[in-house]
Amino acid sequence: MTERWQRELRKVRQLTPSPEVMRHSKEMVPERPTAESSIGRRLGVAVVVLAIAGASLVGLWRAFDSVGRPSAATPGGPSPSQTVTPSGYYITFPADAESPSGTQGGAILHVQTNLPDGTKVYVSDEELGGGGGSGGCCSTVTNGEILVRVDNVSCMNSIGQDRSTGLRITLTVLPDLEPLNPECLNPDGCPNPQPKEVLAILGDHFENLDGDQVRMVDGMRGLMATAEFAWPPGTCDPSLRGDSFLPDRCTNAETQMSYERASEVPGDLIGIFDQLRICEMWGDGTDGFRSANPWSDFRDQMRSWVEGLGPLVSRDGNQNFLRADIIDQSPTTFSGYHGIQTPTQITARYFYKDRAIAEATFVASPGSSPSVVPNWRLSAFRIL
Amino acid sequence: METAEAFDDLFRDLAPRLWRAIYVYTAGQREIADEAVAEAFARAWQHADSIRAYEPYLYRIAFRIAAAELRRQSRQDSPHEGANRQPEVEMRDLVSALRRLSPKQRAAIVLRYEADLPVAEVARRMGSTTGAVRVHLHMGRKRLRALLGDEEDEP
Repeated sequence: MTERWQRELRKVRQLTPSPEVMRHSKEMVPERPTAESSIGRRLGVAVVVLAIAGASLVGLWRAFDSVGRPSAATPGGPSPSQTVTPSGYYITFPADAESPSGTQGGAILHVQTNLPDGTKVYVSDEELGGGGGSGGCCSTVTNGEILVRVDNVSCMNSIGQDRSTGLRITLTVLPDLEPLNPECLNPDGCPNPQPKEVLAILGDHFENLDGDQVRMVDGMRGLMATAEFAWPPGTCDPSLRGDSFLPDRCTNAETQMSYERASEVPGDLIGIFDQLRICEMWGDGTDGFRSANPWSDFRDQMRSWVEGLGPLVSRDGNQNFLRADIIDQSPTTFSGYHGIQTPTQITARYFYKDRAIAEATFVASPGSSPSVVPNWRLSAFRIL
Repeated sequence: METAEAFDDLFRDLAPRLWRAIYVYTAGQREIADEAVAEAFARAWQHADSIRAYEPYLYRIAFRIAAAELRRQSRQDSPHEGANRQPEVEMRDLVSALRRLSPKQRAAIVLRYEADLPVAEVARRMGSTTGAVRVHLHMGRKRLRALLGDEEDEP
């Protein structure tokens, strides 16, 4: 079941930029770079890296029996820099990260500082052992405190993949945070410069800022502090999975399979299995499929089956133990995006470590125009 | 791999998604989407040696160009001049609804639901927090539901 706004939004996937956009882009470059081999390699690598990053961004889910408990390698508390009382202006971290009330899968930190109230602080976080991380502008000093909230993105890791063991937080204060926040998309402008009241105290170039934590960052005088924490107990609570991918009512199927080539379609289900995104799988089904497979029964059956398979990816997440081969396709074809002749129906067999485990049939709909990337629906799924 | 071929591959891989994101962000203004994507790739080509990650770079540049154009339009006497252009027939309802969302709501909706980025990544790209993004998503969905109707497909 999808809502109308979701269906309307999906129509956008049928749109493509005109070929003139690429030509226009090339016309804007007066001279092509000369170091072709080097740049070519970089761009080639970039495509691969982007593909891998895209796959990893999908994130995934896993076994909740052991989650949330720091491993032996997990940071056990503040790093040494946290325990030193800095001179001058300072930022001091708490001993432990707290579990945010009302939500799971993250951490909250109450950080103390003597920076002026209203000072904007750039917060970046890195998941230790998990590879993820993000940054955001800005937290604001209020009553001598900086409140930091962080998500544990590794809660969404693939089944079998190691979770993050801890969290590294870096807080940075600069006269202008633009160098740290270059990707701001806020059309109303980005709150990069410090407020006038703060600059009046610390100086336009932070010349009044002193203390052990003062650093030069991108040519600017600023203050930077870093600390590591274990995730608080309860992170990656199993309820997260239920809310996101295995809800009581499946009404939030957010994606559908839109692929230029039929050969790309079966891989979609592998990503779904990896993360137990069963609501999405069900939402990708045809009306007939969903009628024949009522949600709650389908959810329970699929969950039991997927979790019973064992680890679906290697611990580092680089190897997927699932694969799919197309074993049948319709003789009738249509002309899809770029004029590629595409079958209207395919059947794929899924393997777990070379053992056949399931078969799925997908139908293309509607897919009749050379300018349209066809959408695909799951019409049948059979566990072997 | 030749440079031009690599560029073409990168364009084919990323441009459609990026273009659609800008299309939604600008509420159906094709001209802005065309220009923003073309210029973003042109800059990427020019600065290929110094770019570490192409996708965030391209999104950043394209969204900034589009945001600047939206700001310019908002300063005109007849704001949203692009809104007068008719979108594709099948997109009319959606575009009409998107124009009644705030740019932040559109940015959050398109990055989350069209580009399929996790909320944390949406927040990073918007220069915002996950909490704020969730609010934009909630308000955006609520608004779209109200504007487009809340009926669902039958199971």
